[in-house]
Formats: sequence, structure tokens, C-alpha cells
Amino acid sequence: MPSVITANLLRSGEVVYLAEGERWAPSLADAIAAADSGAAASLQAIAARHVAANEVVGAYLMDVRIEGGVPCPVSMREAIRAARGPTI
Amino acid sequence: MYRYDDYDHAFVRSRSDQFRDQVKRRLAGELTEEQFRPLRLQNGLYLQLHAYMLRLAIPYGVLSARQLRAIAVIARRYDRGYGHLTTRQNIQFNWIKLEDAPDILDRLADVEMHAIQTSGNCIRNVTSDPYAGVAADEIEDPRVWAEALRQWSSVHPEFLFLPRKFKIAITGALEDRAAVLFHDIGIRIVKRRGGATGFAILVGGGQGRTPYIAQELRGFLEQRHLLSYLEAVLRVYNLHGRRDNKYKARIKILVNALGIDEFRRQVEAEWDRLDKASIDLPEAERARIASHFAPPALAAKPLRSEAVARRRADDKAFDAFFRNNTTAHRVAGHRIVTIALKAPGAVPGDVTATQMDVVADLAERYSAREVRITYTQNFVLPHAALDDLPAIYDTLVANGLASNNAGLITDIIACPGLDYCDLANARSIPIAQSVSKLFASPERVAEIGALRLNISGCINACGHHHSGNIGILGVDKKGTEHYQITLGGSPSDDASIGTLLGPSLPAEDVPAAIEAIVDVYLAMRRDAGEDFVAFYRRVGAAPFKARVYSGSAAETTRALETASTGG
Repeated sequence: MPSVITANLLRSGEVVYLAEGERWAPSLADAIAAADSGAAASLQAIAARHVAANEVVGAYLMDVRIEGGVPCPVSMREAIRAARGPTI
Repeated sequence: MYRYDDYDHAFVRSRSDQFRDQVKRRLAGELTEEQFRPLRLQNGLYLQLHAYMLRLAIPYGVLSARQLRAIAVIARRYDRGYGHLTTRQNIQFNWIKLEDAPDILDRLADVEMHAIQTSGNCIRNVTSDPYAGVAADEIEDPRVWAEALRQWSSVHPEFLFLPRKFKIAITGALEDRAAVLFHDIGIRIVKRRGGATGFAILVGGGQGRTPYIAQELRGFLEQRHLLSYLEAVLRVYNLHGRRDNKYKARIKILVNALGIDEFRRQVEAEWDRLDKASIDLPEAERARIASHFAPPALAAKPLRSEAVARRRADDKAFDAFFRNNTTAHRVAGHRIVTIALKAPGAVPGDVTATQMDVVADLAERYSAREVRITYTQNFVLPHAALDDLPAIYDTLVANGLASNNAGLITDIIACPGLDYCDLANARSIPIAQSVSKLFASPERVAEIGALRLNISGCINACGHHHSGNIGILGVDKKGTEHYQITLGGSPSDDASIGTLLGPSLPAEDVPAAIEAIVDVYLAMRRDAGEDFVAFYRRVGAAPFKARVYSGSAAETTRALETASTGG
């Protein structure tokens, strides 16, 4: 399954995704998806640098589905995070 | 209520300054997340799904109108205009920025509040009877001792790194409204024959993945020895509680591994060794604290109010509010009023900044400037004159706060669940909303009578599902949210842990299952006087199982499960 890197911004706690240009984007649609474990490892290496630079916290790899060319959440937890708020 | 002295002020200010410096160093990259995390948790700051969450300590659930207004200001300025009442009588905010946290703590310190020890493996905020000091069935006001415990446990150098978190509840009333049997230590004020009051000390209760009901450690402890005795209990726990396994680290596991008799022997031996005089609360200090809890000067009034009687006769909703949401006060002509945050479809415990201001206004005008928070996630106005009830009620109606279902099936306890919480496996709030909408008819709810329905989004049980008459537990089943139902739990004097009814159900089947359970109860109970727990103890799970798992989508689920486990 393809995967992307997600984290929370250190200052605000906001949910973000690792996007092109080593940017942290608020929208999952902007995340770079890694198709295989090699690509995932390079994304993790970038994320680790940003964690060390105290830009984000708790970075981790999450599974996604690609729909219409953009990554979409698989689990309910990630769907709720990606929606940036509760479902209620 | 208790007011800070110079020492308290200086202590809370210094903690707030320390945290400001820690946040500054974290943002400057001088502290790593690993170094910073325990520091923020000690100040109640979690990182949840969407943002940081800040849990404020509301000591034993008691707030002044001024404090509630300050909390409303925080909700508006630093959050999204609302807060959440927790199942430990605290208030938490869901949308906090790390960089704002120091300013928030300063604002709290301005009104004699903080967020210390609302997280971490330490003695958490002490909880108590929300009717403390006003209940007609009270032996003695527990707040005096709750405050003494708060001071004793605040940054107690020996107990800041316990094997696991530690929760204490104290009640001074005959009826247990603080769920003392589900706490690490439960304390009941008791009266001996002959008149002396003391404490019954209960130990080893709790919910979570291994629920236990507390056992009696000591039937009668002289009041003056409370702190030294608790110090002995905590020392035994601190020494022998398991630190190798988070899931076995609570005191309940130790008590049950050793057996209550051996645990007691160790506590008593430790207590014998302690220099009690250096630990116990000096009488002068007890008297100083007690002076803060002198009851407000309420004049006794007639037991009957014409205005209330007329309104009850004319207005069914007000009558239900009077019956369900008001309780006898110890001063004649007064009632204790519960403001339930449980309208059909509401998020249990959520309250807007505007509503906080309304409750603060009501407290100022009608309740000696005092507000309480219950562990069932409601507010209480502790001192309302009977004659003022219609005016209070009208204000509540105008502000969406007149939910007249306190103690009924729709007065649901629910944790934030997967909508907010990093630990949750499933959502709690939408289940609470669908169940409360299902039972929106006041007549139906009244017919059912008192019934506690509790929902947790994971096994940590913040929503107290184990002690619900009907409990709902969210689980993750192969990536989808499912819900287990337990029946027969009780949080009160007849405390019991609910038993699992059967296989978990998908979210969409939960309302129908709850309806089926209620139908069985209504159809088969002896009379309206047989409450749900009594009924369940009499008939057992069989009729409920038959009804919930017959021919529905749920039965399909069960069949599938049986097939997949090969059973």
C-alpha cells in the first residue's frame, strides 16, 4: 500500500503532511506518496531531519489509497485527522 | 470556597514561569520532544489528533463564577469557543497552540487555577461529591480534606514519578456520588457509634483494561491521620507497584496480586514506621482550610414555593426539570440544581464560552457565586432558592442549557473518543448523539427512569463504560469501528462491573441494540421501582442476548465471527 508522512507542527499542533519541496502541507491531497519501501525510507529520512530541526513532532508513515491521483486516508483515525476536525 | 494564600500564589506563579521558560527552550530547539514531553504533561498539555489539548484542574469540581468567566475567556481567545467537561470533574480545551500555553497558564494563575498534575504518573486532581457541603445526606463536608489532599499531593517529592497515575476520590455523604469504589483510593467520611467521624479507606478500584472495585483497607481511620496513612499507602505502592509493564502498573493490580490482607499488613507496618506528626495536617491548618468552606449565609425559607408549584402544574418540561435536575439542599427552601449538558444530539460535556458565561451569571445571581462540575459531565448550581427556580430555568432554556434529563438514560457519559483523542480506537460522540436522539421523547425517558449509560472509545475507559448500567466500548475490528455492550455495571454504593453481552456490533446497529435492551427491561421489570441493575441481577443476560442478537444485522455479525474464529 502506498504511504505518506504525517506529523503535527510543533508550535500549533496542527496536522500536516510531507509535500513536495520538503514542505509541510495541511492537506493530505498535497502529500508525496511513496509507492514502495525504498521511497518510504527516503521520506522518513527527510521527516527525521525536520523532527530534529523542531519543526514537527511525532512524524510517522501512514497508509493511503490513491484516488484520482491523490492520496486518501485508509483508517478512520487518519480520515478524522485529514478532515482537520471531529466528524460531529 | 478555598482561596489561595501567599504561598499558593507564589507556587502557582513560579510553576507558570517555569513552564514559560520550558516552552521557550522547546521552541528554540534547546529541548527535544523527548525531554519536553514529560514537562508539558506535568502541566496538563497533551498532543492529541488535531492539536494540543490542555486539561485544567478543577479541584474537587468546585469553581467560582469568576473562574468560570476566566475559562470562557480562554475558550474564546485561545480555543474555538468551547470547552469540554471531563469525567474527572475537570475542563479541557481541544485546540490549543503550544506557543499560547504559557499565556493561558498565567490567566489561570490570575484566578487561582492551574493545570498541574492533570496528567502523568502522579496523584491526579482529587475528585469529590459535586453536592459537597450542601447535600442533605452529608455527614461532613469532604472539601476540607479534598483541599488538604490537594496541597499534600501537589509536587509531593516522593510521588511525582509513581509507577502509574493515581486517582483519589472522597465523599462525605451517605450516597456515593463520587464513584469512590472505582478509584485507586476511595475515601468515605463515616461516623462511629458515639459520634466521632473518621474515614473508611478503600483501595485498588479502577476501570481501564482491568476493572476492579476497591476493597476496604481500613474501616475507620482517625481524621487527623489521613495524610500519614495515605503516605504509607502510596509508599507501599511506589515501592512494589510494577514499573515493567504499563498495563499492570496501577495499584489495583498490586492490591489484587498481594491480596488485601497482605497489602494492609504492609501499609500498617509502613505507617508504624512513619513520623506521623511531621506528615499529618496540624489542627490549626485544618481549621484554616475549613474556614474557607463555611457555608454561605442562606436564610431558611418555606419548603413550598407557590411560584414553583404553579409552574410545575402548568409546564411539563419545567416539572421534569424540577424532578430530575434538582435535589434537596440542607437549607430549607433551597435546591441543588444540575445543569445537564445532554440535550438530544448534544456532545456530552461540551459547553460554549457563551454558555459558560451564562452559568457564571446564574451562579453570581442565584448560587452564592459557586458552580460545581460532576463526573457525569454536567454543571451544578449548589445553592438555588426554590423561588428562583423558574427564573433560573428560563435563562437555561434561552441558552440551550435546560436539558431536563439528569440521571436518565440520555444523561450519557462519553469520552471524546476518536474524534479528538490519540488513544481512542473508535468514536464515542456520534454514538452518544444517536442514542440521545433515539430517546428524545421525554415521556419515554421518564418511563425508563434512572439509568446510567456510559460510552468509552477505548479500553482506557475514560467514559466509565464498566460502571454504566449500560456500557458501550468502542473497539477496532479489522479497521472498522465496532462497539461492545456491557450490562449491569453500577458506579454507586452497590458498585459492580458490567458484563459483556456478546459480540461487538457495528456503529449502525448500536442504537437498535440499546433500544432492544431498554424494551426488554421495560417489558419484564417487576415495576417502575425495579431499577435496571436490580432487574439485570435478577434476570441475567439471557433475555437481553436473545433480543439483541436475534435476526438483525448483528446476528449476521455474530455468525461471521463464529465462522472466522472457527468456533
